[in-house]
Amino acid sequence: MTRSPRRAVRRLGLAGVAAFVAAAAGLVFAGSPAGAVASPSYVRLAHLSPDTPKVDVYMTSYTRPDWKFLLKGVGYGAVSPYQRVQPDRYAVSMRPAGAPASSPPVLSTNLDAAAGKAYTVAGVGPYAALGLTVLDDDLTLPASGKSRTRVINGSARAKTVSVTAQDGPTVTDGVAFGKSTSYSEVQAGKWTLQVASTSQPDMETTAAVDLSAGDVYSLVVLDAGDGGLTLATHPDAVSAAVTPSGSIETGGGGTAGPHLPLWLPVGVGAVGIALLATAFARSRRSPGLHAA
Amino acid sequence: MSESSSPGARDERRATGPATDGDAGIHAGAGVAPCADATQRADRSDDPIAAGRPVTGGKTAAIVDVGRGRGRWQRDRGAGLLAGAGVVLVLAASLVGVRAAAGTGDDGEPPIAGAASSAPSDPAERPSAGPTAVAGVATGPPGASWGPVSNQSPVAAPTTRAAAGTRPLGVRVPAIGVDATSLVPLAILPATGELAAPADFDQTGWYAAGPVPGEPGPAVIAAHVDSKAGPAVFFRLKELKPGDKVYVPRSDRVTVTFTVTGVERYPKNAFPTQKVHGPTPDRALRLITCGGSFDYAKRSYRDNIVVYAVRTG
Repeated sequence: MTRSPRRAVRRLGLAGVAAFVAAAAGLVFAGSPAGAVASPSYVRLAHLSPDTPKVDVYMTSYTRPDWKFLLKGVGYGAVSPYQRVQPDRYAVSMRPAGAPASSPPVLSTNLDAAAGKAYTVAGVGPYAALGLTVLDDDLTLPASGKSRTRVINGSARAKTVSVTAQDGPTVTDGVAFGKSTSYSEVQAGKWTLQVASTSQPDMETTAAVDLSAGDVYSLVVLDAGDGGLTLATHPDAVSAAVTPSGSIETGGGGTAGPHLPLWLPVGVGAVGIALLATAFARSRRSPGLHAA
Repeated sequence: MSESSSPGARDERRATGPATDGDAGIHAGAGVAPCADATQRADRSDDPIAAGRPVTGGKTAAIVDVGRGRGRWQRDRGAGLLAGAGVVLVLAASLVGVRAAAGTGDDGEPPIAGAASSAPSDPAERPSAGPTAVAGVATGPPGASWGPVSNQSPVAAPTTRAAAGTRPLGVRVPAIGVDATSLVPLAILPATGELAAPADFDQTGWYAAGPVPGEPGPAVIAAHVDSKAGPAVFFRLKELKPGDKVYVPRSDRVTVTFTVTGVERYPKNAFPTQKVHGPTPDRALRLITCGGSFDYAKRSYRDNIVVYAVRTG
């Protein structure tokens, strides 16, 4: 009988192909990049208009009608915790505190929240010219030993302010009411900051701040209730003072399996294909054998 | 807190596609982060391919078997088709697995702890219409009590951080059977700047100079995937899925709850330091171990597995 050896060859070929496909599948699995975790967006809301009463702040999505985020009774000087949201296009609206959700908003603006980015949506300016502004917050690592700061001026009284560290750097030599400086890096540590109006010589205050290395801060200048100025320090983002650089060695290899050379599965697969091709060619060369 | 990010919403999302999630889950496990070769092979033994079933098309078998009658031919063709379909399924599932992994951090963002108190959610006040934004322009008439006020005292910045000296006492991850009742402090290796692993294979460590778990910033807890003899504390870390819980009891008698948002595998020579250790606005946790293939020459795994989680309670 010619069938038995032929069947044996065929089986060998099939086994080879199976081994090859398994090896290929293994390569596909092993080689597939780890799924990239889509980063969220972060949004917080701030009320920086000294003569505007409390507001309710609504955040709604353009793509998900059921989604909303509501902050009630946000008063002057408030900077909310960050809300972790999926990247999307949002509308942020302000209504007088307690006003029905169906009432028209006093103000609204759009926010295109990108993955891995953080934003502060702030009500700024005087009541009579209230506006909503979207600030980009910085989540990148400061240089080693540094903090990153910016100054947001929510003081109508001072108009334009300067912020200078005693025996240290000038953080800003002038930022107007309702505006923010860009970020700058300063040496981490305890500083006494002098906050002064650039237009009214007697209007100033000092504030003690403790800036941690690796952290990002917003320094918010506000009208104090007693008539002066005050400075509020809000961390935007926090990281370790000394950031580990890269990887960690956490394995002994005890479950890594026997140490097989890489060519083994590939070689087995190649032999299998060769056998299969041989079997295929032979069966085609003598088609009458089985048809008879 | 927002409706869409409530736990209920996440459950609903999962419940809508159990078949797809199940398939993707199996193959995402094999595709995302095989920690050791042995596990990888074990995972694949369920696949028709690895089980050694025929995977050729029906044609070759048909030519060889043509003398055996129609029934066998059809059986063989059927088996071939089945096997072929199996290959397609496996490949498709692996793609789905990659896609599923890619989307893990995207949907159902867990609510941030601490934001809840200042973010009451009242369904009755949900806006009935979609967003109608007019950038920077006042669009509505002021309410009756709506008008300028003078000399408001600014709201004080909330101070919700734990007392200095608070430290984590352990880590519990029920989904993968981890219950470490002590954490050793990990330091940075001066020579390389890398984080030192726990000295013993059965220890779990935390980066003590970094954020405290539950406080703002990315806290780090690390453990070995295996010893030289067998599995170690974080052997099953790669199995975690978004939504799984991680509990960290602390010295201030608070047990912090984290929710997993994603699992990633990185080559050690391309470790994304900014993404893993960079500043975060929220109270984040990173669980780290080794993965990928083992470099026998260096006695070291080639990859790191990183689990991303955020505080939710």
